[in-house]
Amino acid sequence: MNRNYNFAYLDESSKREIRRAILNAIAIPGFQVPFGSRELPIGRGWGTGGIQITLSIILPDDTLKVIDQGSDDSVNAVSIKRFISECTGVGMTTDSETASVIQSRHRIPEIPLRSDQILVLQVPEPEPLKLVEGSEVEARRMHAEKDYNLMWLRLFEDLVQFDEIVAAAGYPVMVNGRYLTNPSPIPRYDVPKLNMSETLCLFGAGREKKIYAIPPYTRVEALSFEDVPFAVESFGDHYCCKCGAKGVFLDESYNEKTGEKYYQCSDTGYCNGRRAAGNRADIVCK
Amino acid sequence: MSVNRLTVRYGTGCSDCENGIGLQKNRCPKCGTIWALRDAAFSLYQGEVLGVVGESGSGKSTMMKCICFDESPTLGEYTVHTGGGNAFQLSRQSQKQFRNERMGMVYQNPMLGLKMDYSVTSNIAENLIASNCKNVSHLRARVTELLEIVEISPFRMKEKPKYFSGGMQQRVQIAKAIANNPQILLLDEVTTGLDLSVQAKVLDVIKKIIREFNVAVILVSHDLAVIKMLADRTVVMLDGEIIERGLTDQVMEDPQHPYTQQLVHSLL
Repeated sequence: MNRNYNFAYLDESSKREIRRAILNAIAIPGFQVPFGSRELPIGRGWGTGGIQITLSIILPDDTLKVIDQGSDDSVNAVSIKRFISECTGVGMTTDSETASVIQSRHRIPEIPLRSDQILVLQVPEPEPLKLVEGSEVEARRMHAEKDYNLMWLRLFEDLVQFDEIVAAAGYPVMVNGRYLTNPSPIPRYDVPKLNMSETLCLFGAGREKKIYAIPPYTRVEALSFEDVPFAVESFGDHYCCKCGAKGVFLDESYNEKTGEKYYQCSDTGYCNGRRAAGNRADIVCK
Repeated sequence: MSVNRLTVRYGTGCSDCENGIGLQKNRCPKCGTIWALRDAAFSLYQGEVLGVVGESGSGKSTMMKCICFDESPTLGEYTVHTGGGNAFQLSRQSQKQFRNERMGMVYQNPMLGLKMDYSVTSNIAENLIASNCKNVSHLRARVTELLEIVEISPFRMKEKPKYFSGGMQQRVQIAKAIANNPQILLLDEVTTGLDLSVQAKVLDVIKKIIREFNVAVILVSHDLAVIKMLADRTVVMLDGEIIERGLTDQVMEDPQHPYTQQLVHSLL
């Protein structure tokens, strides 16, 4: 652990300020609270929002898990882990069960999280209305008036043009029946996990300088029309070629030589856990 | 519906111009205040068409903007039905809800009334969605019905209005405006800038709608022929004030105010 810095890199007053924003965000589920995004030795847009939240809430006896698109060992996850470990000395894990703080980019772990855990999500664009309204002033007015007709219109336009809603990641959700919220670019598959979840979910956007939260046991509803229900991605009969898991979120890959398509668990921590318990697929990934 | 003492002024106003003393057209030379609209008042019944004529800058559009809550007036009362409160004092949300559910507006410039990057279907369904209809098959059915009324081929439902001709854009706007069976329909210079045959088609559609739906229409135009054809009653505006009012025929045949006389005589 590097002693040249304060515990968790940020100075105490910065951490207090960010915690204050987090408390505000929890008090108004789904509302984007502006905060003074601090400088970090990582470029804006590389997960600085999530990192600042993690650094502000982490304690010496916490165990941290960092995921990047489900993977524990991709560049973003490894760099963040190394940085946080250097300036806090907390324990690291790849197991979602034992982690007390989970920082994630674009995925929610496969196993259900518990109430003694905190999920921190990195958000590139916190404003769900950005897609339909370019002006932030106007978007804030729309939030204040709960005027989300433009978003509904956008979804309807998808139905007109493509007969289905094409938003794959960051599907707009209503939090607690009040604020339209961007659940960060998690796949649709993960959206139902936010509804009435036991875990506190914190969202940090470092570049856009916003923090928002979905507190435990909060209603989260994906926008959907009466006769076109919200549907998550389906992988049919495919299963993970490593651990044989079915009904989980799968990544699709190709064998470069044969062009053969195969699938494997997006959540590597989950996949490794299953394999350690002796689960194997009857085919082998090439 | 009725509107009373509707006033819009840009500027602080002073003791002189508030009493109408020393105004040059609608501008006060002393304090620089512009009176875009001054004490305008009219009432309108279901199934009636009110024509509004006047030169440019006379306050026609300002009046329309106030009525559809695009602009908030300095002063004024707006009652939608007898016994109802002043609609100008409602909250922004209520005003919007009222506009979405019970008003239709057709703008002179289709760019204002339509979302050019959304399909015709979405454009027409916009007010329906806003007034809480979230059933896709119902929305589609209603849009098909409306397209038939305004005589647009259902094959073009998925296209964007930016690829449509001016006359068709206006008809899409009309379809959008009547989607909710509104009580009040505001038509702002709907035929201006269209060639005569297209004008005739748009006017036919409007006539059909007025006949079929029991709707109160305010029709702003500087084309007296259009007013003559459609309006039951007419008000004439000049420099922010209503200077003459009456049955359309009466105003056209026997104008009292010098400006109206000039206007009617300039008709070819």
